[in-house]
Amino acid sequence: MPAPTKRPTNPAQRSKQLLANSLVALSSAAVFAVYAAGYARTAPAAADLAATAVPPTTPIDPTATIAPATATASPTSTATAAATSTTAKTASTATAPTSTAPAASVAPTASVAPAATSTTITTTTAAYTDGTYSGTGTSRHGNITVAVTIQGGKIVSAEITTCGTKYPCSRIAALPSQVVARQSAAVDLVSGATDSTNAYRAAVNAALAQAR
Amino acid sequence: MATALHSTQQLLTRTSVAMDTYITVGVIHGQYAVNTTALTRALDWFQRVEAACSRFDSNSELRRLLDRVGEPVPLSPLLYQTLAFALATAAATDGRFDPTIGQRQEQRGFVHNYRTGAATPAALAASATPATFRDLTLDPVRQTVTLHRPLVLDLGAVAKGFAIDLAMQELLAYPGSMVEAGGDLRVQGHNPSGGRWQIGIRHPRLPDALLTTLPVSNAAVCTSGDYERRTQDATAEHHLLDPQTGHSPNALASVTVVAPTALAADTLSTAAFILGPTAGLAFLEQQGVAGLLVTPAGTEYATPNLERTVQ
Repeated sequence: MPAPTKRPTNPAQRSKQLLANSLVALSSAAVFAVYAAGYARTAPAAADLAATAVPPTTPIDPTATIAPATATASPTSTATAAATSTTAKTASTATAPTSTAPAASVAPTASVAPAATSTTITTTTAAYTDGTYSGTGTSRHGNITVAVTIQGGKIVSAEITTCGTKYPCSRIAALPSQVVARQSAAVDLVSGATDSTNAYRAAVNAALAQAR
Repeated sequence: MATALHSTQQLLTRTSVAMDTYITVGVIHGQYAVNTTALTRALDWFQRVEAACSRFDSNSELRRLLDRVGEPVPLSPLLYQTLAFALATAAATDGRFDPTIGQRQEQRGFVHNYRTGAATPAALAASATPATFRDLTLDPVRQTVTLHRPLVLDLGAVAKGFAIDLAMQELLAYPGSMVEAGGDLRVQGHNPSGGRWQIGIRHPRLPDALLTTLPVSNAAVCTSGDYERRTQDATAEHHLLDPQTGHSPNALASVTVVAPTALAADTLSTAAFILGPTAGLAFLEQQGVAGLLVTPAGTEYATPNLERTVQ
């Protein structure tokens, strides 16, 4: 007795199904194609991002409603990047060539380093003054502090450095879904659509207010 | 017994922000030293993909492309592959998934840059006949695209998954690694306890509850839902739109897809969400991926190959 099959017998349908079935394979090929094209070749795109990420006169979206608009600026909290790490072994295992301190191993680029390291590039047309600035935004989950680094008048990074007291950074950063994960030891990660980043926006805006 | 000899191994993570969401990359280092440059490079991919594919940045490669109608435009490998995959998915769904939906997303008010709040200027006026994916053609040899009419591309359902895959390429050397971006994720190897990664699926109506838990290794898990990023107006539509109606589909509350790549999982979860429970389930089965579709009333539809963790 022939086994039942869902394969279309019509050649046109069949070729269409073959095309459709190839989406997973196509996705793998796409990843390898771009990865093989290389990190260096795609690097200029990142510079474009920094060039236009934050126009200087644009206010934060006033309709952002999750967080009360209580952004505050603090110029001195950029040295606490270790809070973004969930490991206790950082200091003993860090081998990044650019890192010499435990905090740097969490954020080994200049992005959360003291402002002194980010003054090598200057430009007279910059919208912002070079340096590293920190800002804090408030959400229902707690505060988020970011360190925004300006080089050549452009934002080159905006990393989360510290979070408020309600949850550690590792939880704030991926709320709400990852809070669920941490509440259950049997779950490593949670998949699901998430809140957008209103507290982060407020923090970045507060930091940038100092850079003008 | 095949339990891990060592107790819980350390998961070293870094978190950043891109694509209007939080990105976390992590590796299990065990006794190995961690070169944190790998984590930095992994995070950098999100910036690169965003710079190429963002609809919300007037200087992105995608936005600049939209200004050049009627001529072949050479694309970076990143944008070319992202667009090619979006168009392949559009063809496989007869256009129910369509990256030219960007025009109608803009009309719905999804125009604000998450970093600045600035509204990206609408690239074209509302037109009587919306564009479709058939209004542009790719040249795979020259790696160009030609827009045959003004249109707005949105690669939001594709680009995040692609960035997750590219980031993961930087972390494959570790015994375990994870990349998570706003609830979409890919894991490799084993979890900190030495077993498969246990991925909870968020309940679409109960933010602090899980629908189920999936055991995963070397795969991506992506979820498209109706419960975040709604419009500010009274219609409260979400960010996913059906090209046939111009409105948000409402037959499903969330679709989760498990696939070898996040590019496939992210894109196919969005496609299945638009297709609805019956056609969406059939589509996921046809593609050979695992899926879990949940209606607003809580009815679940799962592909036969979906494996759940026995609690």
